[in-house]
Amino acid sequence: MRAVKHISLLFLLLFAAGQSFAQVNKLEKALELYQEKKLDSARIYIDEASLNPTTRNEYNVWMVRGFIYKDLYKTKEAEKPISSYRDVAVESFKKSLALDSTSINPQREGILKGLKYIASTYHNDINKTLDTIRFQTSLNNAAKFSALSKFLDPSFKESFYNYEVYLTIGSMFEKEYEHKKSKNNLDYAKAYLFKAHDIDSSSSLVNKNLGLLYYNQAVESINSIDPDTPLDQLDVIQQRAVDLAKQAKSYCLKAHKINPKDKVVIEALMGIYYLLNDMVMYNNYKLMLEELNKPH
Amino acid sequence: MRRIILLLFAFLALSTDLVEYSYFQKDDTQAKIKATFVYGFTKYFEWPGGNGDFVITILGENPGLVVELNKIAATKKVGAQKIVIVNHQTLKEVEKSNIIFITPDKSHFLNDAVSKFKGKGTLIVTEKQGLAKVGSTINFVIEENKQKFELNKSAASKAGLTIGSSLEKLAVNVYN
Repeated sequence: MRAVKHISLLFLLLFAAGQSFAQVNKLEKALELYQEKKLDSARIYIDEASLNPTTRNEYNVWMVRGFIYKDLYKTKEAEKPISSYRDVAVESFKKSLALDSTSINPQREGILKGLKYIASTYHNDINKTLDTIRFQTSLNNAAKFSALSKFLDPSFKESFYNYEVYLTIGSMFEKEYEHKKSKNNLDYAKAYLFKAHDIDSSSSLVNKNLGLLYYNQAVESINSIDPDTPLDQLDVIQQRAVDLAKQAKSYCLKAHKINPKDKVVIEALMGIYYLLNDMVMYNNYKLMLEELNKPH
Repeated sequence: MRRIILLLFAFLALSTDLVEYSYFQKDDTQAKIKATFVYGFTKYFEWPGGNGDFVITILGENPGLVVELNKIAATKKVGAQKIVIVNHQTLKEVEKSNIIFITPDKSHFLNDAVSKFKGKGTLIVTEKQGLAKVGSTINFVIEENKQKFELNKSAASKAGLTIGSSLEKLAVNVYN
């Protein structure tokens, strides 16, 4: 609402620009209603002005529309992770900036400030829907934050941000998989952890998470053995576990190389080598862990 | 803007508590496999007697195996016999047993165990390289990272055990 104080100059500009009185009146009316906090009514007038051929290419119209929709979002949908008001505000602000190609709009900083605020809300909303059912909304909000951040600052590293998002979502599915043993969760965990790994394969965290995911699957495979499992099938189950443990080993070794003091990774490597019946390597990592656990 | 973005990153990491994953299973995987093998062997031999409990003795330290065998004993039987798991550290303590599992550190008891239980229908299982050639009926070995076993037919015969034909096919080495 503070934006209104700064845009009273708008009227003068509009008249100077020679707009038709009726359309200027719509913008004037929208502003008046906005000042009175009658946002729903203000929206109707500003939408009409934004569609009208005589005013639709005016950056002021889109700027006011942006502020109205931003406030509609703040007053009506701030708690909602999906908000069309917010999206329209972004679209309107961006259009206003595009129409103001020579940067003559004295309120340009206000628009940028509004966009930065909205970007932060997209980002903060990621956590609101971070579960196995609504994670797509988190991804959408992350994508909107990323795109808007890139728009505001071309040096913004989208890949770095995406890495964090994929790692977070992959880890969330990994935890869910451990609780519910659902193949669906396992598939999603792998998919998103690999997306993170594709962006940064030198990350200790993503290698560790992938290593633990494969190792837990290997153990799960052995835990699935029923006492009445025919002995010839034991070899098949063991082979499956060995294959998974070998995959786990490659990721955990990499994680260990990057962060040699991570005790969880060392313990996981002990478990992996134990499962692979490699007692020499098991004992190596056991000694390493004992060394790290010694009081200094 | 850069500062704002950095702050936002911090928010994501701090509020989710999800990124660093540290859960992993600590089950004794090898004990589970060995226990399944040991119980599986009961189906491949003809056991003399058949009265009283079916006793499986672990001679030596292998707590994981004791736990896993006890889990099996809680739900399974050999024929009509209840399975009982006992754990001893010396051969002197070992009495009537249907199966004796000798851990690697107690392998020096093998010869005496063979003598003590000769002809009594006791299956001796070991897990040390070469023991199938020197008196153990079944010896666990590691091949391609997996638990496998060797079979000594003459040791079985001396122990008074009759082996089902299909067990031979599953062994990686068979000694006569």
